[in-house]
Amino acid sequence: MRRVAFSATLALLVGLAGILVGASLGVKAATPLKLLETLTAAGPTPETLVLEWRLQRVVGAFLVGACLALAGVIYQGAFRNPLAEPFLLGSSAGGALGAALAILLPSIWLSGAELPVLAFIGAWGATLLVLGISRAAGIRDAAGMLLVGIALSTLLAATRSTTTLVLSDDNVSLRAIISWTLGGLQSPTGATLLVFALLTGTCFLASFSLARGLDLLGFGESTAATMGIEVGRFLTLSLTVAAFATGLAVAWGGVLGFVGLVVPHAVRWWIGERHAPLLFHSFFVGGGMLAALDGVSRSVLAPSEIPLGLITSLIGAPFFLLLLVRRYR
Amino acid sequence: MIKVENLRVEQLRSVLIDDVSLSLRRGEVVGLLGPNGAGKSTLMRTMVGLRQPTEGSVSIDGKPVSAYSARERARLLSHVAQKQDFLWDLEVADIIALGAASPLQSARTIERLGLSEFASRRIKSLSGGEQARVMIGRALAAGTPFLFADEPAASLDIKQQRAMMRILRREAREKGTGVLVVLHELNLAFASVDRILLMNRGRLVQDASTIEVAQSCEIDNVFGESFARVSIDGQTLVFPTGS
Amino acid sequence: MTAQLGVFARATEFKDAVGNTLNLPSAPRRIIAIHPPMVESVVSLGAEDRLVGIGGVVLYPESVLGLPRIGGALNFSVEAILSLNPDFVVMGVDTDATAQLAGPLSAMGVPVFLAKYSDFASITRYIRLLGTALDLREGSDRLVGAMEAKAAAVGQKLASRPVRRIYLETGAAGTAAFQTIRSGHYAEDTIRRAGGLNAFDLIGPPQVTLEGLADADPDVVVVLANNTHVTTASIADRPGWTALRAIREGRVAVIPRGFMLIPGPRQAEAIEVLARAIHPEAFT
Repeated sequence: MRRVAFSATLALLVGLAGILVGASLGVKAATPLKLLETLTAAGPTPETLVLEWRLQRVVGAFLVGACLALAGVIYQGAFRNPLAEPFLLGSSAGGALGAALAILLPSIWLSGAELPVLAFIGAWGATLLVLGISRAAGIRDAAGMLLVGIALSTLLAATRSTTTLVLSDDNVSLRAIISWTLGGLQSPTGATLLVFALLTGTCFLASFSLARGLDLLGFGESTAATMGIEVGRFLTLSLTVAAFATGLAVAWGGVLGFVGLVVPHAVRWWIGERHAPLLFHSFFVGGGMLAALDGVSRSVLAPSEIPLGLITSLIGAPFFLLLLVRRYR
Repeated sequence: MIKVENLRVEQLRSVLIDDVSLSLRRGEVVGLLGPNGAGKSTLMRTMVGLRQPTEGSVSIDGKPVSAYSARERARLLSHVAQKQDFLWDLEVADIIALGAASPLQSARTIERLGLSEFASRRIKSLSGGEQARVMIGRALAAGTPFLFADEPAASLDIKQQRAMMRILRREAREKGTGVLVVLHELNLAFASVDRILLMNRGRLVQDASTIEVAQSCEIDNVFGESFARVSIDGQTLVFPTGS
Repeated sequence: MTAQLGVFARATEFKDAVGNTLNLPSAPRRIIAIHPPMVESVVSLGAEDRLVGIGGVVLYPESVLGLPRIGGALNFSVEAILSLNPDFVVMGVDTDATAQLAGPLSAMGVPVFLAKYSDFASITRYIRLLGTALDLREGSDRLVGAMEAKAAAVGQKLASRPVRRIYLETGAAGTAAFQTIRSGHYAEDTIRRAGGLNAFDLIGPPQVTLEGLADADPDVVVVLANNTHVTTASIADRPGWTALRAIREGRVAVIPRGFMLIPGPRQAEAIEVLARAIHPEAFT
């Protein structure tokens, strides 16, 4: 128990450190001390406004990373496959379609919330559709759901391409859409950031109710069933929760590959494979990591912003290959 | 009590279980014997609700198994499968805790099964026999009224086999657990269980006390062997004579 | 060479903007133009009646929208082109169209005119060459003359004005992923002629964040958008943007996107529109 408490505190610190690093990096690097100074200085100067924006953005990055890591743990447990990741059941294709519509259609709301809202509806909706179709077709196993996911993703991607061609008025808006698909923070601030944080917190808490079931699924569906898990219902519930978290991440961060795949693995190496601590630690490690990487995306080629998804892919892909090799050795 | 009535289980065109009726009472240890392919595992899986019968019923205290929710069922019966998958490399103590009704049960079970030295080791680092003991421990820690074990002795050495059966008997005597255990070792069965269900080709060929089964010729027919019988200290042992 | 009604003697070899030689024994009568700049150029030169097909995402002028399309924003069809039996195809040299079509079409003997544009001067130059190839010398002289006059007039109005540093936004995704132009983009010349200077000198991805903008501290923010809900007010409302001096001083402008980024006959207008956005006081 003490061991877990120690590592849990460490995980929290990693999360915090990530936010600090992310907030310190940028076009103009700022030490944490300077950050504190600027934020407590009287009156909103342009400097404080920018740092406030940056801090909120980094917190947003934390939440995105935390959601992806959480979803990754759940997907790997539900699919009984350590190579599963949050975009398997259509979330990325659905989110991209939602985002494309938000960018191309004339604004319905005047607030800047369309893009995240439509991206979320697309991402979560796609997975719910996959789960629904699977249920209706009597497909209960993860492999079958995966195939439905692939089919739907292909359909959604085609829809997106067609919509983009039909609605875009020139090639330039295509670039904004492509940039979104490569992943990048939406810079949530104020009330929107708060809502995002609350929803993320809800997912975090909800995920612990899934921990035992995920552990039991590791023994196989039969054993899990005799130990009290209604496997079909559990899969639907856990994937719905995971897809909700994925939807949140996609809404605010675009399509960020590898985070949901790699963070659970790294955390397993650290603290073992039991799901309750795994969920907790992955949340903070994933969040801290993405917050720090956001800082990198804003500082390496400053003032250009490197799409965050490119960075996660550059780091994640070699890691993934390593995992693959180890698994099949 | 668990009652099985006229159970029939078909798969495609073959009949796996053919008109089997039996009952399992609390407090008794029942051995399920038979050659490979007799349907023992299938019978067990049907009894715990992992498989739906084509005809007939399985009921616990009068209520059909399928009428219970998974959680209610898990409180009534525990099942230890023949082969166990370990996708996640959990610690032994955690695995026992997953099945346990309480942390106290957990600790007691670990002690009783002699798993204390393994408690903080990861399951995949253990041998097959040690893993089997952990899974039995997980089932025992749940403290359910009924326990089903499919070949729990398969990877154990002689001493461990006897220890395992002793523990199961004690569960039955002290806690009133109804135990159904599939065994391949005939003599181990004869030495440990109260009653024997003998299966062959999906049918229940004999349902009688240990002594009766040991001394009758049904086992010879079912296993296609000619057994020699020896009585030692009131216990009947059988030996295949190869003719 | 004399030109008389109905009878003309003409050169048969013409050069396009890239220096390739085209063999045009007679003035082209079946023209296919790909992408908005070429379509607008052909129409403005007075050859709209000879246009038989268009390619790319073309929204202007309305009169050509009913013409057969030979491909959209992503893929072009050689077959569709050939089925229209063209004797002249015009496209920009660095476009996706060129990569896909130039080779195959030339190989089949269809004259392909490649236009090159890196600044205002090269735009007028290719329009002149195009006019020559289409046997519309007078038209092209007039058109280019008007363009150059307009640009010069703008230059005059801005003569004594200090150059203003501008941030040109070409697109955005929600409240982030602000797209701008890399250094060397042809729009930089337009900006220069409009009395401005690109506030950024980007070598990395043409995408910036608020802090990048705060650091660059542009004098004017010019957003290209066709969405009617993007207004100077909505831009000022973007989270954190009040940190930018240009926003606080009210130097924000929204310009229709197609205008600025089509390197064709409307570039002179674009220069003027942009100059009005950058130096509004010079135009009152």
